[in-house]
Parts: sequence; structure tokens; C-alpha cells
Amino acid sequence: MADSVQASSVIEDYDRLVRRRLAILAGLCVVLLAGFVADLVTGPSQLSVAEAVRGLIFPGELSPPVRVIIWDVRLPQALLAVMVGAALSLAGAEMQTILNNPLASPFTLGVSSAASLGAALAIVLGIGLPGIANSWIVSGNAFLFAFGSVLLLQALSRLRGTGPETLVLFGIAMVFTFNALVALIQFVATQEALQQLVFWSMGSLTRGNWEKLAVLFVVLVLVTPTAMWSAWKMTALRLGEDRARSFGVDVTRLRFVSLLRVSLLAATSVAFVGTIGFIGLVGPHIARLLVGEDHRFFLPASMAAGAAVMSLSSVASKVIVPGAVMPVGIVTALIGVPFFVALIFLRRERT
Amino acid sequence: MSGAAALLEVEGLSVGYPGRKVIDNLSLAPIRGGGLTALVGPNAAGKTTLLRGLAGLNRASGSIRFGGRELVGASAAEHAAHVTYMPQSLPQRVGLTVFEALLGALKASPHGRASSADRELALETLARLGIEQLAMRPLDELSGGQRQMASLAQAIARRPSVLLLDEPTSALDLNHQLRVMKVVQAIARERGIATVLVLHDIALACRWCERILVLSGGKVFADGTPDEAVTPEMFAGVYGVQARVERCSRGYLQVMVDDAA
Repeated sequence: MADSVQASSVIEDYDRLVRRRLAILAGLCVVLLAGFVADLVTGPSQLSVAEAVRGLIFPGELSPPVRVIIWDVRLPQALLAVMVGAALSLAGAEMQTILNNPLASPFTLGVSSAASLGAALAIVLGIGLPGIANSWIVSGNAFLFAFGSVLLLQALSRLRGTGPETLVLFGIAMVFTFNALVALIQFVATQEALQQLVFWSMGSLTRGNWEKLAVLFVVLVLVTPTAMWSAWKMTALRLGEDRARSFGVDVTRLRFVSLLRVSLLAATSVAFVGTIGFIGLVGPHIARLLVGEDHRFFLPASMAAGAAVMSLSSVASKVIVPGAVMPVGIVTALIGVPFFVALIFLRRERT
Repeated sequence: MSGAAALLEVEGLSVGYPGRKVIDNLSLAPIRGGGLTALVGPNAAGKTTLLRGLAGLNRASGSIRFGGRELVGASAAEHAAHVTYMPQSLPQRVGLTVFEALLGALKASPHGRASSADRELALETLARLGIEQLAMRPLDELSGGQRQMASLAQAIARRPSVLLLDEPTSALDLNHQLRVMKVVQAIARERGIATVLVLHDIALACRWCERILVLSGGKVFADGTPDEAVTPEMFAGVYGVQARVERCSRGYLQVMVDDAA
């Protein structure tokens, strides 16, 4: 009898835990929404929140200049911030799990560096894929190189006897190689091309337009459900690779498909906004601190946290220097680190 | 169920790593369901490799049959349907509670059960091991003994027909050693599970296991009941030590190591 009392209480406790995780997830989405609205209203010409929200719902009622500000400038950038934040953070979360390394992210394992190399080739030497429109040549190159860098990691993981540690080391080697090659190209670049390249590498949301948003949206819509589909497998993988395999998880295949998702997410993001270093690392860590590592909650929470930090960074990039928009890549770490450190300390106090 | 438990049969089995065979052409008398078989031997004898081969974690050739089904070359999912392997330890810094990890173990491979059935199964397993009170505790906050119980729960909850445990009692105090061995023995009997454990403590193996398999240099040195396998000759030949094997007042074998052989 006493057993059954305790039994039902365990299930109740678990249900309560699930509800709490869902509530935290909802809370993250509220923070994200607030960040998104703040991102819409801040900028050289101030809008009120009411104005911005009304402008989104009834665009016909806006005066033409305000409509242009909201629909052609603010909204694409704000949406780009949300989607890039979510994509990079999901990529980071998956990498950290499948490579069993909390320091893994698209930035730390060479994806961003590869994109920079592709961009450098296009900007400085004019080398690009044939048949690509001029306005897409930098993004196209960046995508190709970023995608290629993950495929290279992938190829290595297919070699027998290569564990996750080797992949991480190889990723770090790629960072240094690509950075050296970028430096080499910078060395021979003209003043003008150099400036353009440096600005590209800093990462900026001002390159947002509806076409790019559509591409990123399609990638996210295709990739996110397949990641969620593998959520239990990834949770099991956290218990150790041997254990997961003994539980029937085809770890090799999981790693392969996951890296494919990572390459799409990361390559599309960095191709459109340039180097954004911190999101892919901090988004997953914030999510882990808040909801733990049941990947049904961890993956969406990573996306929401990454998107929220990115939105807030975008706001900060517009307010730090009044009248000027700083490249958002500079701001992400400045915004993310205090947030992150605060969370770590809050957690310490609780336990 | 235990009366009709299927046999685990190993014939001509070779297991190893790329370019290095650790186990070469090993055959064993069938391992029956319901009893515990201890795998003992010195370091580098190939105990873990054999266990990993049986678990399908290392590439193997030869034959591992369970209940007439060939497992060599079977997919991870097929293997997992019958065999569960428990590594020596759980990884550190995992952000899951005991109950979440247990659900992860149950849901790792697709099956037809409803979520509520998985929860019941998880709960039943915790109750069976007497660790319901740990259900909501994060894995990272557990003591070594508690972690081992949580780890064992994950393996047992999957209701395997073959259970392979790699040093389940290492790093455990006497009380936890006793708890682990007792519950593994009881569940193996109850469910007719063919259980193979790597153990370093030979007295512990003699106390709890019906069969002792002594491995040395990838070969079977001795195989049989504790009385048959655990002898001074075995200690001299396999471990290079002089040892006495004596019976205690309860009738179990005890081992005293005196000197190098």
C-alpha cells in the first residue's frame, strides 16, 4: 500500500517537472517576443510599441515612410535576428550532444571560419560559383565553404575508429587553417576590399531581405522537425555512446544526419549574416541550465534562448552608439556573457 | 518463464579492434537464462572486449546465437531487442534526472509502447531496485553507489533477455556491492535472463554466480562452477600469484592470496 502511494507520487512529480519545463519554455518565448518587439521599435527613428504592433497587423494604415521603416528595414532585420539565433543555437545544441563536448559550436569548430574564407575569396579575389547572381556571390561562397567544412568533418567521422574527440580536434585545426588562409587573402587585398571583408566578418543583420528570410525559414522548417524526431535518441546518447548503442540507437547514423542538419543551419546563417560567434555556444548552455537535457525540451529551449539573445543583441547594437548601428557580431558576446554568468550564479545559489 | 529460458550460444567468436584481434575463435558452452555467469581474469585478458562483442559494440565474426537467432551482423535495433550492455559508469555532467534518464533508456529505440506504459515500466524498475526516492534527483547529484543503481535501472528496465554488466560492483562499498548482486541475481532468476558480469572480486563471484568463466590472453582458461574454476592452479596460471582457496562456514569459497607465484 505504501508502495503504491509512493508510486503515484513519482509519476505526479514527473508530470510537475514536465509542466515546469514547458512553463520555462513558454517564458523563454515571452522573452524572445519582447526582444523581437524591442528590436522593431528601436533604431534611428523611434517608434512606439503600439505603432509597431499596429503596423504589423494593419500595414495599410501606416504612412508610407513608417511602412518602409517597419516592413523593409526593421521587420526583415528583426526576423533575421530571430531565425539566425534559433538556427545557430540549434546547430550548437546538436553539436554539443553528438560530439559530447560542451565547447562545440559552429563557431568553435570552423564553420564560421570556413564561411569567412568563402566570403574572402568572393570579396577580394572575385572568385565565386559560376552562374550565381552578383548579389548572392558572397553569400553563395560563404554557404559553400561552411557546408563543405561540415562535410569534411563528416567524412572524417566516417573513417573507422574516429571518435568525437578527434572530430573536435579536427574542427579546431580547421579554425586555424581557415583563419590563416583568410589572413593571407587579407594581406594581398586592396584597402577597399579589406574593409568590406572585415565588415562582413563582424556579422551584421543589415543584410536581411525577404529573399534571404525565405531561404532561412525553409531551412528551419525542414530541419527542426527532423531534429525533434531524434530527441529521445539524443537524450539516450547523453548517457554514453556505448550505452546508447546498446539501447538500439544507431549512433553513427544519428551523428551523420545530425551533422547534415548542423551544416545546413550553420551554413545558411553565417552566409547571410557573417560571423556570429557566441550564440551557438551560449544558447544551448542557457537552455541546459533552465530545462536540463531531455532533448524534447532542450532543443526548442536552445532555439528560443539563442533567438532571444540574438534579438536583444540586435537592440543593443542600435542603442550602444546613438545614431549608429554597430555590427551585431560585436555585441552578441557583450550581451550574452552577463546573461550567461548571471544564470550560472543563480543556479549555484539554488543548489 | 525461467524454465524455458533461451540459451546464449557462442561459437568461433572473434572480436577486436581494427587490426588487432583480442578474442580469437572463442567457443563457450551455452549460457543458460536465469543464472549469473562471472567473467573473471587479469587486466587485458579480453573480458570487456568479449562483453562488447556479445553486446554488438565491437565488430565480431563467428556466431552468437540467442534463442536460435544469429546476432552477429544483426542491426543495432535487433541486438537491442534482446541484449542490453551496461558500461562501467555513467558519464559525468549530464543534465537529466534519474527518471528522465530511465525514460530515455526506454525510448531510445522505437517500440510500440504508449508513453504511460513507459512511465509505469520506469517506475516499476525503480521500485524493484528500491530507489524510487531517487527518481527526481539529478544524476549529477548522486553518490557513486546511487549512480550505479540508476545505471542498473536503465539496463534492467529494457527487459533484456541477455544482460551484460561490465564491472557493476567496482567502486562500490560493501553495502552497495551486496545490493547490486542481490537484485541482479533475483531479477535474472525471476525473468530467466542470461546474465554475464565482469567481476574483479573472485570471492564475490563465487558467492553469487553459478558459473565462472576465467579468461586469460583472450582464451578460456577455466569454465565451470566456482569449485571447478577457482583453484590454486588457476591463480598461479592466470594471475601469477600463490593463493589458497578455502570454504567458509557458510560453504562459500574464499580466496587468500599469499605471494607471487
